[in-house]
Amino acid sequence: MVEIPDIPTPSDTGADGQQIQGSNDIPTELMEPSQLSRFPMVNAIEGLAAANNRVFGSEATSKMLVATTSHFAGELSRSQDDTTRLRQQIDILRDEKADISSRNAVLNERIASFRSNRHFSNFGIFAGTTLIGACIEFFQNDMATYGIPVMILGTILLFLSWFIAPRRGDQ
Amino acid sequence: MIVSNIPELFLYPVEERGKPNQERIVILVNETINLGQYGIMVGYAGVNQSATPFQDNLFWFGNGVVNKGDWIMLFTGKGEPKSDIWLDAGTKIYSVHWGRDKTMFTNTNVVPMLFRIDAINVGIAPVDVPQLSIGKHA
Repeated sequence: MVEIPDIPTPSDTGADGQQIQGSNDIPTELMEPSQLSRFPMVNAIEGLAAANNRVFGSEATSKMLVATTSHFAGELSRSQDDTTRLRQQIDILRDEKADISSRNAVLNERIASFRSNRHFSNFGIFAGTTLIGACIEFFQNDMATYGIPVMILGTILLFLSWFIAPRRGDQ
Repeated sequence: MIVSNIPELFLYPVEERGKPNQERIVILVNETINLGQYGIMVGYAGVNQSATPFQDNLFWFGNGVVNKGDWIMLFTGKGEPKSDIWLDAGTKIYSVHWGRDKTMFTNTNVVPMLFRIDAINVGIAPVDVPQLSIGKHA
């Protein structure tokens, strides 16, 4: 067995030090060598017929066979291209559907919060007006010490409920 | 396509894969040759030391005679070509550079492919023809 010598290390590599690490994936700048090898069966049949035009029995048979395989290879190529295009469209539609679903979920959540806010707002307006009505009774009975805080509380509740209430434009 | 090996050069596995400025293809020269007949391609490794070359990736060493026992270090980055003497064996180490901005062999499925040119056709460059014009010049 041939002995493989150790690899020497050059003292000065001459490298300029500007290189960066490439991706661990297959580098995108390396193009796939697929153009001629796409239909190896067709290439083989065409090659055989070109080398010997009677290789498949007779000249006519060879030509027919080459023409048939080339025709079906072309059909297959077009079908593959169509499939690729359809897959791309499916991907686009799937992305759009995902966007619409997430928007729908956000809007549903907003509708739910709108309903609970509306109940809270109605209760606040009711409680605020009740407290303001009560404070008037306190003032009429010379009970201002109770009337003022009740009036302040009722007013705050009324204003808060009024402004918290969601309007149609928010949705 | 199956072709014969190249006995006059021995291609080592890539050294320092993915390390910027150190990644290199190492070749040991087994007999005196002119490197102008050889080059390196990049391929996707297959089984039994086979590979399928990627398109548009070729390095030509250029003309230059190397002797038996010499080493060629093809760095994938940029740099100045250097030659060094390996004192242990008294042979030369040639450092040449592919000039790539990024390392090429980070993915272990990507391998170098050493090739030899045995025949070539060159497309003829167009020759200049007389430029005739009809009409007045401004």
